[in-house]
Amino acid sequence: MINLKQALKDRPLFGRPMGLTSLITAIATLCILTGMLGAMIWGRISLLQNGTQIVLKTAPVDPRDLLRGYFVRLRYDISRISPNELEEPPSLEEMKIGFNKHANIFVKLQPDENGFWSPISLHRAIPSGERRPQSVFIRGRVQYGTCRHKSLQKRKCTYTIRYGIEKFFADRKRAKKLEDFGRQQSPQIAELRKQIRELEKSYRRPWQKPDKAERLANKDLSAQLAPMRTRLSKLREQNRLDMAKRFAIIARIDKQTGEAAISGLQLDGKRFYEERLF
Amino acid sequence: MIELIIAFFLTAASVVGLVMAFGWRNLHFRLLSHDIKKWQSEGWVSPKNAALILDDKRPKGLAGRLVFLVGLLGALLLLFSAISFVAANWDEMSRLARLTWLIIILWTTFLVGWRFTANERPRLAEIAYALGVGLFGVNITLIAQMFHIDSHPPNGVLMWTIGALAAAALLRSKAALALTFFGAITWSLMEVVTYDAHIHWPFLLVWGAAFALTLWIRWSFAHHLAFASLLIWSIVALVNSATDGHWSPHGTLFLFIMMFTLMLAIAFVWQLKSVQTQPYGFANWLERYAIIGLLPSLFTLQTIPLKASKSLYYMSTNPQDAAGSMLQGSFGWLPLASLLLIGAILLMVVAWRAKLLRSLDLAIFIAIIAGTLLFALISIPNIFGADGWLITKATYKFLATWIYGAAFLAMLIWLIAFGHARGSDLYVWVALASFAIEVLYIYFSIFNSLLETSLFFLVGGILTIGLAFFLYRLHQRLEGTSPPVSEAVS
Repeated sequence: MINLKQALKDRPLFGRPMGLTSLITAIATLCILTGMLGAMIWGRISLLQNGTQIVLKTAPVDPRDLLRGYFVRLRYDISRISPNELEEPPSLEEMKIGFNKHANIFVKLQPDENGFWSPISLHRAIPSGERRPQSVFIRGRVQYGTCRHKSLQKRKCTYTIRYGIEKFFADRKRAKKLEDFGRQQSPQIAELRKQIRELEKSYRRPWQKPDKAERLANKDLSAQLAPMRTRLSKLREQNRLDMAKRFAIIARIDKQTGEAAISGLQLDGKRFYEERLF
Repeated sequence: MIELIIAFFLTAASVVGLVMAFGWRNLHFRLLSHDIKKWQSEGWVSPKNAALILDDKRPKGLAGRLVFLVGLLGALLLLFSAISFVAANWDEMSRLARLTWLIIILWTTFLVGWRFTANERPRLAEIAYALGVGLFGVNITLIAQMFHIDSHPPNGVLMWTIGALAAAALLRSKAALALTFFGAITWSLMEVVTYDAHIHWPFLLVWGAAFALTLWIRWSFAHHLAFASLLIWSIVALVNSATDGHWSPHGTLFLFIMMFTLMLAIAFVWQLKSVQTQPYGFANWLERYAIIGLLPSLFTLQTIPLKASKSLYYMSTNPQDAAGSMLQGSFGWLPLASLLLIGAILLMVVAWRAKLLRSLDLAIFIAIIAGTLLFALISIPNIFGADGWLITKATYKFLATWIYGAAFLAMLIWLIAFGHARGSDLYVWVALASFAIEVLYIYFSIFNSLLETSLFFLVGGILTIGLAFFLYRLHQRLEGTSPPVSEAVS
């Protein structure tokens, strides 16, 4: 039987930890570490249980395989927002002082007739008082913003925003499916890429030391390639938009903080995957 | 499969490392035994002392070492098997099962550490605690993965650092304390590099807590960790604040040089009190850090071409910003550098008055400050620089190669003498190496395009041999004139 009093007397709590004292400190450490992990888990569980459910159009754009496991990178329709296209665009003053790179940003979302949630307005904080019945605020961080100076006057600018739900970790099978879905492309894109590759083959690189005639040919090729590349990027964007019409994520939003968490996936209007709490 | 390959390589690397460490200790003991026999025959060491030294350095019995090796290997394998089990069955396991596994592994590792502490095996306990703190980080990552959390990665690192700090404080674990400093600086750099925090002040809070712990635990190596992390943070903060995040090479290097000079001055003044009581205390380390930081900074300053300074200065496209940003990019480092400069000179004068520095040393330090300041100033574009009216590219190249180069070489010769006066072999060898590098740099930059290949190598070879002879003579001369180490220190 351990004599706690004697043990503490022999080995003081704040001296070099030995025996029973070190066991107490080890357990206290473990309780702190486990508590920190528990708080992290509890925050997510309560958000998934009590948050407001929304559906966001998205497309898996960049499938990756890292040590952390399989995941797909998601790009949402609300990942790039043009302030002038919003129903309630922010004022020039608001845009000048707020929404700098890495600043917190709150996007007001509202569901459209198809059930997808789209942006209405941008805010630096969740406004108190005025709130549409069916709207929520999602918290993000400005990754890039081109709304400065001249573009600000014309409001021809965009904000690229991250919401912390851009990665979806999945098991191998599901990740493969999502990856295949993300790589689907229209035959037009495949054809155009093939043409570009063929033309690029005849391009003489600087290290190949092109002579005068070859440099002229390079110029012609560049002139030919430029509009093709522009068309390719447009087609890719269209492809992504078409994909986003079919694929969506279901997320939960905390009404107080605007924090979001992924709770499921939806394809062609049907929920095909739902996260379990435990 | 990938988990197995990683586990295999990590395990193999640990085994090779441990075997090498074991082999190295044996080799060291054999060399020492050989030397001690010689010293004994010369009468420098008494037979009694020889036996005591050998006993102290004798590698522990093979059986005990093997037990340690096998035990460590076993612990590593157990850890890998647990992680591999989780990784292999990740998809099939429910979240609750995954979380339970993660927590069980964490608790087991720390309790094993406690067991070692209770059995008075502190080294094994530290290994277990280091593994435990590492596992805590793995758990954070895996929970973030489970819940698709991808919001602000530095927060995860901060959480890990706080956990490591708590473990270090409660368990008085050195390994956890070392990991705390590592985590804190990683967190700070992530905030600065990825999220543009120019001066990341919150780092100081975490650093302060960890430093207080360092004093409490009384682990001298942690002083170095604390100092190194604070130094990295200060350099990044200084440069970012002075150049508004747009690094200008000459100004940045001048800030570095001023910072190391200030450190050196602090070390000198610190020695005022610590020399008598603790001749090889932290002040000496600070001095070494400063000199070793100063040399590459001074060397690099001459290697930056003049045109680079212009292209790297920040040029905003907005006319409203232009004047301010140019000013910031070109001169922004000046106010801060001036403060450091004044501080460094004042402290050096204090050290000189206290006779810790000779007049020659003080003069050399002031010459370094003045010379590098002049060099940094003439690189400012539009005023003195390439497009300015005072310095052409050819003049700059002449100054950088000949005048600066010659001054740098003279400074290195002084450093050799300074090292001898202080009884520091480190300074002597660092100065000798820098001397050789500088001469070769000057040779390459001048003659590379002028001489034919064979002649270039022939002259290079003769020059290197001549340099070696010159350095040997210099070293011999100083060896003959330098005072014994004990005298120099006192």
